[in-house]
Amino acid sequence: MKLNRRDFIKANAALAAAAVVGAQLPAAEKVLAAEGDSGIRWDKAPCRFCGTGCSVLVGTKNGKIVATQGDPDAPVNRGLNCIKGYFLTKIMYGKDRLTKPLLRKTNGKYDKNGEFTPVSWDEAFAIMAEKFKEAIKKNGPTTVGMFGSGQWQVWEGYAAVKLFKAGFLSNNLDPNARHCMASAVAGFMRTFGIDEPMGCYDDLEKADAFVLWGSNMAENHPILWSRLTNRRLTAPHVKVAVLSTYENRCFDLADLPLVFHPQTDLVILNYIANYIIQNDKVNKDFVGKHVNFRIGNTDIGYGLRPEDSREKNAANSKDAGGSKEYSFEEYAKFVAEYTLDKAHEISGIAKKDLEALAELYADPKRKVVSYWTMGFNQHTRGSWANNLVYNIHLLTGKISKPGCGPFSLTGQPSACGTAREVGTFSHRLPADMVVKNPKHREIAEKTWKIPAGSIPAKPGYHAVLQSRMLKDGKLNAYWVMCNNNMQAAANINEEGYPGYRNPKNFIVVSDPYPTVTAMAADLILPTAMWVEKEGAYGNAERRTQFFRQQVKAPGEAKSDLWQLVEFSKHFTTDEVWPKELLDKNPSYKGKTLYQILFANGQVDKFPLSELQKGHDNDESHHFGYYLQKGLFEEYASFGRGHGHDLAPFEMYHEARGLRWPVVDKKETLWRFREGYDPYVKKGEGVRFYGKPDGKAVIFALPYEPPPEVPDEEYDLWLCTGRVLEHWHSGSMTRRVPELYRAVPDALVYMHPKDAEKRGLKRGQLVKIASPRGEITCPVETRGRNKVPEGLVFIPWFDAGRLVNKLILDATCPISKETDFKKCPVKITKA
Amino acid sequence: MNISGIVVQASPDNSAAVQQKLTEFSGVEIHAVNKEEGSIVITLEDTPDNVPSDIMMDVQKIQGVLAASLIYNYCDE
Repeated sequence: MKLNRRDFIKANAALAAAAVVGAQLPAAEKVLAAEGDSGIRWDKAPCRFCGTGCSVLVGTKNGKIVATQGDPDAPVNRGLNCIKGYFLTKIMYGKDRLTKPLLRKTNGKYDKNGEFTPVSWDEAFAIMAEKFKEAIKKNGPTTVGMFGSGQWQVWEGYAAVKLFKAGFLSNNLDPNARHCMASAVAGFMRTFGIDEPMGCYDDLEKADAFVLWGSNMAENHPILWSRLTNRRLTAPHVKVAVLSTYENRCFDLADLPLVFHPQTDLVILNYIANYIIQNDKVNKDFVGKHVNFRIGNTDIGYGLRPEDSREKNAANSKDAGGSKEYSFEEYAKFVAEYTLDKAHEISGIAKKDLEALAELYADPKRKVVSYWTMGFNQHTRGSWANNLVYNIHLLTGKISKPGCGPFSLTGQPSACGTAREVGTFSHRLPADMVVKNPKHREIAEKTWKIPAGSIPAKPGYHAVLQSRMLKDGKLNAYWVMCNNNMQAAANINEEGYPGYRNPKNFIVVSDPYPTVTAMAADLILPTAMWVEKEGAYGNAERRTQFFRQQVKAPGEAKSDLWQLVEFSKHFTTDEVWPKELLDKNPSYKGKTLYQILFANGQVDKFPLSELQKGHDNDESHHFGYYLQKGLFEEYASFGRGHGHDLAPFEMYHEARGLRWPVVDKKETLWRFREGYDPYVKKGEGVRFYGKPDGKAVIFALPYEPPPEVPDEEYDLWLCTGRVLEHWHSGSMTRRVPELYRAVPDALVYMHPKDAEKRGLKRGQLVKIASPRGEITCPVETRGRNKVPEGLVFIPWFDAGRLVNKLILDATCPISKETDFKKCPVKITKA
Repeated sequence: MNISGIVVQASPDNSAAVQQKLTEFSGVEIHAVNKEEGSIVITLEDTPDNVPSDIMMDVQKIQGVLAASLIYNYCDE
């Protein structure tokens, strides 16, 4: 029997799917046996999209990715991929892929108001280096900065940290992850003294209850959702509670569907703590041994510009993270005002539902996992919300053990692995260290072999401050890499865009595609993406995963890593370091930053002979050594022996990822618990070793209102977010033309009564306005998101409707993360 | 050519209705059904009159479908 190629591929597809659910397909097996090899080379890579960290088998033929398959050997996704996996074969092949550097020029010369003109890499780096040097010479290293990414490979983030903090001696490096999980970081650091979740995805099969706090897992983490669904359907005692300010797809499975008024999650969290105390459900042994109490500063402002009256009038806007010692008794009194009546009144949730929710946590026999994403994190009290959910898990001792724990999910593939662990934030260094701490700076300076006193002690500009400083002309040479901030950031009409176009500034954007951010720049650098390079991501459960280069990047596109390292060759210390520093350390004079940062005897010590045969590694061949390995090993030396142990480099190319700390080649599933975590000694039981005394902190923190609430004119809450089909700003998923058709444009989801009140019909074009701008889009009164009266939802993937320009750039004053979830708007006929 | 292997997870009570709906899509073929767990194995291929990604999204939206997971995708021009 001669089969055609289509039958053959179809048999492959059917068999792969059947294998995942354990079904037999004898007919398809016969087809494959008859046809034999497909000529496709298969290799593993973590998915390019969210923070779940699914492993994908990538099929390459004739230098092109032609197929993908959920990796059956991957513990995260067990052969499954979500619908976004469909884009993986296509994201690299968009018709408008950038293949040459583009510089704004008029009459052959750089001109900020000129037209984008193709230039060579030499010309691109020459003008860029000139602008960086000019800025540093004129007003010092705080005039240069970079906005990076939770989508960077581990070594890309690490190279960026070195280039800016150890090369330009500027802390003005921040990742787009600031918009995404900075509040989770601040919460972990305040409560536990060490970043990232203690538990792991194995809890999905072990918990008796799941509580989702502001996380649309069904659309944004579908693989985790399918595991949760499976647990719920196969273990009937399991309960699922979903909290959100509107009904999303997760509500289909919810036993406790809970829609609350924006910002009142703070009240609900304190009510649950009060319920646990009032009903004598505190795990006193656990609390006595492992917990301290503190009361945090209140009235901390909203991270707005200092001249804003809301900052001037806030008592503690200058010490937002401050706190004082407290006792259990004081804490019990503090939360006592959060009664059932009050919680019901403020949140809008029915009393019986509030009690049922509190009981899930209080019942000592029930194992509970709390999940959250942007609902908590993008919140002007986001750090508090994180602290408050930890309070509940600590009061009950439901933490750091199988089936129990608070777990912050992430939205980018390496928000944890790169942004957080490498420390690409303006205040951080690798392995949870901070620039403010002189001991930490000393460790970094020694590891990097740079003079003592090089790294500035003052934190640099964070994401929101970068936009403000660009506008004010204080940040003048700026490199944006691997993100789409003109679409992602809030209030771009008033801050971001004027900042990019400020004549004093030179803006460089590295991207594979002409995003709105790239189009607002002065120089665009074409970038290699995903498996066009060797990479490493770290997912939400502390799992570090590697992949090899599978294909070549198109045209002259180069990876972020190549760009960062190659650019360092354009600077000598004499050009960018202070004279006093060089006079004190004359052996550094006349060296290039490349020599100091990368050809330092550590990063360049692994020969090309260690590269995997049969795979390209374009960066290593260019620089002449195994660059990724050198960077990784130097980086890993920061964390080994200090609770952040990473495995030897090669292990990651073999394994489907490993969860740190990896000690003696063994990963850690539940941190802080004896028997699971090698850092907890025998007999200690539990030790929160991020804090010197081994105790976590329960924080007394109240409800405080958001900076703006709906009024007579702007009478609706606007919440922005994501949809299943498009990932974040859509810069990759919107490149798939057929998908563009499936979900062409953003819609405003609105309650039918709110539409009726304004005389609007489903499908009609409307104008959505805040004091900062307006956009136009069609009304949707049905569909997957069912909003309550008084609130509308708009996804932000649509580059034609930059919804985030409506949002106030107010942040959590502790984490500096913007609140994208509650902005008063008005809606009228377009 | 664009061919996908997909596992559709329906709640067991809705499995029959979901299967019925699935057969109405052009390019969809059911290969196996696990009645107890509610999972359905399908392939989805391009045909002269369909757009596979549209159907993939529509499958998600069928009443009673809890999740549709892509297992395999092949795509060449």
